[in-house]
Amino acid sequence: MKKPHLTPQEINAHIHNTTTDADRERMDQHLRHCSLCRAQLQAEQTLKAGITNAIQRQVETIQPSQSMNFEAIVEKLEPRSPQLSLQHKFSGVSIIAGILLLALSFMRIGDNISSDSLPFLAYACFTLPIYTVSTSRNINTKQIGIILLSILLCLGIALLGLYEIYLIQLVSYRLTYFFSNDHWISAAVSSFSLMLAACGWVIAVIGNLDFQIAHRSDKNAWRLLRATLLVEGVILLLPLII
Amino acid sequence: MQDEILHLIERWKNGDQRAAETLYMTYRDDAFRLSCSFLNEPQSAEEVVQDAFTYALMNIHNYKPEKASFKTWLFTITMSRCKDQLRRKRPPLYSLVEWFERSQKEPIDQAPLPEGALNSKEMQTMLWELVQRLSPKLREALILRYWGEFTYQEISEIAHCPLTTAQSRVRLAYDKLRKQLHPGWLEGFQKELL
Repeated sequence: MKKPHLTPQEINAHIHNTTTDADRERMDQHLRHCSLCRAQLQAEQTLKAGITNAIQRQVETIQPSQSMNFEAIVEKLEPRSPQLSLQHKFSGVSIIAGILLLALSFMRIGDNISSDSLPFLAYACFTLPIYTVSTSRNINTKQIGIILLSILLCLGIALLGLYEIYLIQLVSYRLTYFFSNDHWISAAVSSFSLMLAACGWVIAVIGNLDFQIAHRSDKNAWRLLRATLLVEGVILLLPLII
Repeated sequence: MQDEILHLIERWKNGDQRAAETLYMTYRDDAFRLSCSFLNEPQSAEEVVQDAFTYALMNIHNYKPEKASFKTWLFTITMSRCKDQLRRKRPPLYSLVEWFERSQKEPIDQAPLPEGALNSKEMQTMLWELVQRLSPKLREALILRYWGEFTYQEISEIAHCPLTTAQSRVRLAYDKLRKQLHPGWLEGFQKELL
């Protein structure tokens, strides 16, 4: 019985050396007797060699500009990893601050709102060490628990924003009332600030999430988290002052 | 060569900046070519490569020589950043008329042959345009294999995909290219190879 000719897929696999040994042996056996397939294979090999040649020549014409040199990155290489040590330092401080804030929250200082804010502030402080661990470059899939915990904490930070929207409304009411002494004007201003804060929250949550995912383990991501926590901290402390 | 590179890595680990510079100069051009071939934008490619080098040199302690060569490791970082760059890029906006005109022209069934004698430079440019039209995954596999002459194992590591996927991507990329080439291209290549 006459053996069937090699299919285009088989020839493609043959010229790219992606066949199994058994298939290769079978194909070679067929090629020994079939001039048609041999010619086809030869043509494909020539085409592949031509394409390879053209691609290689084209890529070799690509040259970097003069500005692309080692000096341009050397500055970034200088501090071998101070960012990480700074991050670890911050994490240590934030754990202590978190414990202190939690203790203070039990002592019920200030008005109710101020006291209620303290556990949230403590929570924000605890997110920092978890973030540090979960974004460390050496993390592996076995530490999935830490990654999940970090995701939960990030969600917690986002939800914390909702409580802060309420705080912003309250503080803006108090502040306006202090200057205007009018309940209705204060209510209007506080409602407006509520709307603004809600918009800001949506933008901050989406923007933060997108940036953190795109720049994981990057010092800019760490800077953004630091700024976020600072802003959250200030908002949480506002009822204590105003 | 590999021993020299390992020696340079050790020196850099010990804080020798000249070793880092030598490593940079050894792979800069190739990393840029790979990045530029993939992104087709020299400016973005430059940023990507500088960023990849910074990351690689700062995290040199993460490099495991027993797993891959330094070149493969560096190119893995470079390609990963290239893909991030591609993801960040917004899709271009076209007017509806422009889109309609484009859709009338595309897909080009077969790349025409230059008039008269085959000019290798023209063939090269036309072929490169076809390569740029491939999907990023196929383009990546094809460039790594055809230009970089990486093994399928290395391609699978750089592209973060199984070995068989790397193989099939190269085959598919070739298949897509050859389908768009006029049969006369073979003659041109034959003349050129002689």
